[in-house]
Amino acid sequence: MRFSVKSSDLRNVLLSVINVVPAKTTLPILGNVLLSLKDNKLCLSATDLEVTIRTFVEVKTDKEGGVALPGKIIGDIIRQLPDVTLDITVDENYRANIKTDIGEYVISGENESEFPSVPKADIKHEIDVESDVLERIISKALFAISMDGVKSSIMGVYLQFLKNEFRAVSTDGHRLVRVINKNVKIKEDIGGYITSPKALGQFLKNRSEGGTVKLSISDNYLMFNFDNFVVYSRLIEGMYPDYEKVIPKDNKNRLMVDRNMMESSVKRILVFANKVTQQIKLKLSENSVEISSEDVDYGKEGREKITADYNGEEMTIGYNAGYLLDILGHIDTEKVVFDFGSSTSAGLAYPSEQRENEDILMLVMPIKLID
Amino acid sequence: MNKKKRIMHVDMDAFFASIEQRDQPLLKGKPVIVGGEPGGRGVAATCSYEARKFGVKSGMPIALAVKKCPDGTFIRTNGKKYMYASMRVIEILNRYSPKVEPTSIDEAYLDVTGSVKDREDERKIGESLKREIRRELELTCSVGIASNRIFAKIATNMKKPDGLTIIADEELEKKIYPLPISELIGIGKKSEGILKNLGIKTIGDIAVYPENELERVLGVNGPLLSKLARGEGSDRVLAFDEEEEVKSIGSEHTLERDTCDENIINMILLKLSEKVGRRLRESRFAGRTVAVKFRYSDFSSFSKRCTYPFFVWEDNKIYSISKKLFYSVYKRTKKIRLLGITVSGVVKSYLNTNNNKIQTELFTNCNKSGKLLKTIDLLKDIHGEMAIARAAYLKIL
Repeated sequence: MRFSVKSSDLRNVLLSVINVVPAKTTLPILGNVLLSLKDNKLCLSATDLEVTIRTFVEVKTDKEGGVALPGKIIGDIIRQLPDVTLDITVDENYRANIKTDIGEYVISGENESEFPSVPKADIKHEIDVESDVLERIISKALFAISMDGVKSSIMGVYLQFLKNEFRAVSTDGHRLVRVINKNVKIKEDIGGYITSPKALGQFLKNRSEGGTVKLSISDNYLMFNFDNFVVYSRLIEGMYPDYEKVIPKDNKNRLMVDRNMMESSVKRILVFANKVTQQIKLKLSENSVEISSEDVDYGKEGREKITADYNGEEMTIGYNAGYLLDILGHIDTEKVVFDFGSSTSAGLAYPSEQRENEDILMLVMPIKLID
Repeated sequence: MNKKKRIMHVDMDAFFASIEQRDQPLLKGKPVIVGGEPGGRGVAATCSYEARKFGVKSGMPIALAVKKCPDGTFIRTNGKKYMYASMRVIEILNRYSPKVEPTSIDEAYLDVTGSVKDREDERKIGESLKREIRRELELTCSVGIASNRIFAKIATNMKKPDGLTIIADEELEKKIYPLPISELIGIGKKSEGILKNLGIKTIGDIAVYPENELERVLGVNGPLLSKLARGEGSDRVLAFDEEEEVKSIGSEHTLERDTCDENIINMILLKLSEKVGRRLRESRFAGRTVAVKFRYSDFSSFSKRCTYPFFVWEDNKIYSISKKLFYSVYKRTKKIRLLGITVSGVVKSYLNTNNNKIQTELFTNCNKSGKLLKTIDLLKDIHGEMAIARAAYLKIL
């Protein structure tokens, strides 16, 4: 295998696949990046068996072939090379010789056939989504997934394809986000798939604005085809919880408040909360909300009152301040709307105005105030 | 306020064996070994000084003790009796200081700072205490007095049995510094070897060795040892109502018979999880790090720990995590001799009195499991640990 490529061209594609190379692995071959050369196209792939990423770059070649090269070494040298032309030759012992104007480097690689092949799967469904729509829906939902390593089904984002309705849902059992976009052409209900956050992260990191993403679904994989990339994500197995059932339909106490004002107030009050529970209190009364916290162990407490639109029942609710900040940070309207039921039931939050064809809903469970 | 502390260490001489000799006067002056049944797998818990002459030591397998001292009298451990004696000893110690901290059944530390003004006082108080123990319980003990716990314990060990050793700070160089480093706690065979290579043989050598050099060779323990050797050891004695800040809660179990039967291993992990869970809940703790340790029959030990982003306090959760950790390291078919589970990184105020997280859940009804655990704990509080048990235990019990 022999080809020439500009270092800057190779750098871009290489650094985006290297992110997927696992830092620690029991399968040493996964520490490599696979390079395969055909029709003047150099295809690079990396995998951790859960997520596989593939991209390509145009090169000049007179001898096709393939090799798996250690990701760390090739990544480190490419990062540090100035803009030069690389002439890369790989011999029959999988040794790659990289020649540039400034020097020559040799890297020992592995037979490309040792590298796990790209997952083959029978595509069952294909859906085209605008890249910007997918980006928005994922980045709104991603923060609420569970990280606790216990229940794998809620450790991913639930992507649900209903007739002309695309949803992303995430929850960790204490909060939940549901983002719906009604402007995606889907002929029929296809169902939902739990997608690994790592694969979604690869999409978010590598995509460019505009354009379309082709989502291909098989029994075990969800593939994202966008720009020059293909990301294969092994679907997370398990039943996603029946999230609609836990979204309250009759929370009658509506609070509308300035998002920035509330966010900075919660941040200040968090300073005075117990470090473990991060518990703060919202005291709702007519046209105001009082945010307070105390930590008896350290003898500290804080209290602030902000004006807001509220004419529901007077009540005091405890929340984990971190959860509230996550919600406030992911709502992009000037004002945010909360619908509360009682001090022990789920509270809902939305942007004060939904975008066209979009429905964002966030839910957060309270902290019990009295034992 | 900052008066230099005086700490007394009291160690009962061959405690279990002495109690047996007291209760059966015919055994006086004879080798007595208290521990497991001869022929069984137990170890010698305590042996009388007469037995020690034959080379019998505490912790030695009974079989070996029998070999070394075939004419000795072997007595099965009678925990209740010794516990009672231990309580009586503590009663006596309580007359001498409000701050008495028993560290085991036959050992305690006393903070006597307030009761002594000079060496003469220390001698008097030591003798008086020994006299009362001998008169009321017919037992002897060894006493050490120094400025901190470690030196007090070293002092006790200097003269045994029935000794009284006082080390004033001025005497450290003369009495403590020449001692071999192995007398200092925290020095195992490994560190001893490392230190010997550096030419460090005595406690005094450690005291004068540059602290940063010790850190380089021993890691975090280096500076710690250096401090201990210079006499900056802990001089805090906790009174019975003072609590040490809890960092972890754990429990371990040595099997009756080594096994590789996974049913039995699982059962023991489950029991340990229940024990640890119960102790966590007793103090309303929840922890984020779970560690499992185990020992094979060849005495090689392994442990595996993991820190989670969530807190544990429920038996079932501790069990499922421990099982996962255990089987990730366990070499199947190798026989296990000891298992242990520890939960660390514990915090308070995460649970309410019903064992529920104060953070409410969206999908699961944690009320039920919390209430269930609370009820079980309550039953055990009132009627004893065996009042209620999992049906699964019936199979192997």
